[in-house]
Amino acid sequence: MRRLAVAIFLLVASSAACRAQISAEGVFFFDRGHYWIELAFRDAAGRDTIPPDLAVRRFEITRLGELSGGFRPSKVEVVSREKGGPVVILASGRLEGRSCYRVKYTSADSGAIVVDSICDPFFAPPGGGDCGGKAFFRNYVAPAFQKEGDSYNLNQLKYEYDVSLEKSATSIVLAPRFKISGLELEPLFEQSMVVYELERTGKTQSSKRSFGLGASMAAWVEDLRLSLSMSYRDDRSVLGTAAGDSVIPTRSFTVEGRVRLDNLFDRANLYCVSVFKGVDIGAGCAWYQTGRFDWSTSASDKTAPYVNLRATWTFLYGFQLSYSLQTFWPSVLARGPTDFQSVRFRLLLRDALPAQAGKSYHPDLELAYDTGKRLPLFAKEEKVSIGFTFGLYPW
Amino acid sequence: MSSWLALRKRMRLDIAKAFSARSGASARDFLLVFYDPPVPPLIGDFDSQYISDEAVLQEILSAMSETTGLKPSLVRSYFSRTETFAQFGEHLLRAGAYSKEKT
Repeated sequence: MRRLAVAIFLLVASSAACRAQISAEGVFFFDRGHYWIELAFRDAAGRDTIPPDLAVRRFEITRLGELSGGFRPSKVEVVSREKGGPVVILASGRLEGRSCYRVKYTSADSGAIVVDSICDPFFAPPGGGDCGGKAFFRNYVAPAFQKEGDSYNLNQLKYEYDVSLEKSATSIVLAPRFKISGLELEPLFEQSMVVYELERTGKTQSSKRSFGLGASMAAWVEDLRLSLSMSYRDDRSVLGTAAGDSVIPTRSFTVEGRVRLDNLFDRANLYCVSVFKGVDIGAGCAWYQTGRFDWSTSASDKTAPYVNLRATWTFLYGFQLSYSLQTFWPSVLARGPTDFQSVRFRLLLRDALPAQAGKSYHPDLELAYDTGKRLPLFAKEEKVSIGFTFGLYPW
Repeated sequence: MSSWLALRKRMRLDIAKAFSARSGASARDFLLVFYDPPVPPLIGDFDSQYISDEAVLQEILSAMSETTGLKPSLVRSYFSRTETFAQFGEHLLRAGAYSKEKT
């Protein structure tokens, strides 16, 4: 009697093991105007196999989330593919897009095999989608800044108020980009007007007109993005005073090499709510001239090597914090290196607004703080501003 | 023609390669965060956080065009920031990705 019980136990155990030897995976797809389910069966060794009995009654399809019972496919067909081995195709007019299905295959000798969650890639699970913070941003914050029907053709249009100097500034920047066989050209035109409203001197107005041209090339070397750029810029500042206008012309030419270090942040970028991007470091040299151009000025008085470190951190899907540190070594300054630092806090609206195909123009709300000395005048600057900008880059 | 299971797996890897190679995310992390979750983030999340500018995006889409054999304009037309990467891949498969390859 005891031996009989052991024999029955072993029989049951071996039967269960045998049933577990066949596995299956499925995919839901759309082809030739219909939805289909494809099943691939594999044996214990992982080889493609086809169960011997593929009668329609052996299959039951259930739409996930529905309380009603399942249905049988109208047709079961074995298809041999050139790649991926033979598969079983289930056809039914009841299969619908944007849905998830469970398929149960019951065989007389191998028991039941269930393949769960065979989903159309366009299926949206109920309650899924945006997380709370992002949904709030997309639904309430972004629309507040949306202008329907506007065509954004400007790179930057900004109004700012400088708290420290009691001045308001309006600027417009046009810098379209053209790509010609790997070379990116960026002509620049910038016009700005600053109005000082100081109690001591009254209202004083100054304007600045700039134009320039930049050219750059970039290439990937393994995981690093290397770029080389050159740019020329011509500025003309006019300060209106009671005694007459004071004009300060300046010119600068820079050559710069830059390497992007984004891939060093792979580990830190594991979570999409906090991502470091645009991390790069550049080094270059600027030749600049203030006042009337004069070839007799010695070359050492006109050069300023520099390094520039930049990093951008985007977080909570809609916010971006950028920092840039530019250190110059202008030989005309006896006190050694001088820095210019920029901090930008941006409310990104790019994803929330209708996409403009092929363009990355997007409006952002930006709070900026700039301080330090920089080309071409190396005059002390410090300002806090808030503006509505259309920028291609975080800088 | 390959099975759809094989096509989906291949598209998954090709998208991971193309998008991770030109951004600050590794292919493994890309799949983990943006492709394989039951409710994956939208392409827009990846785009706004990992892709630095339009030129990089164009490089990625060009790479996808070469890999799949589809025209660049077709690949570009299916790229939507409001969809998931799996849906982007599905668009490409339905448009005939890999179909021009000799077997």
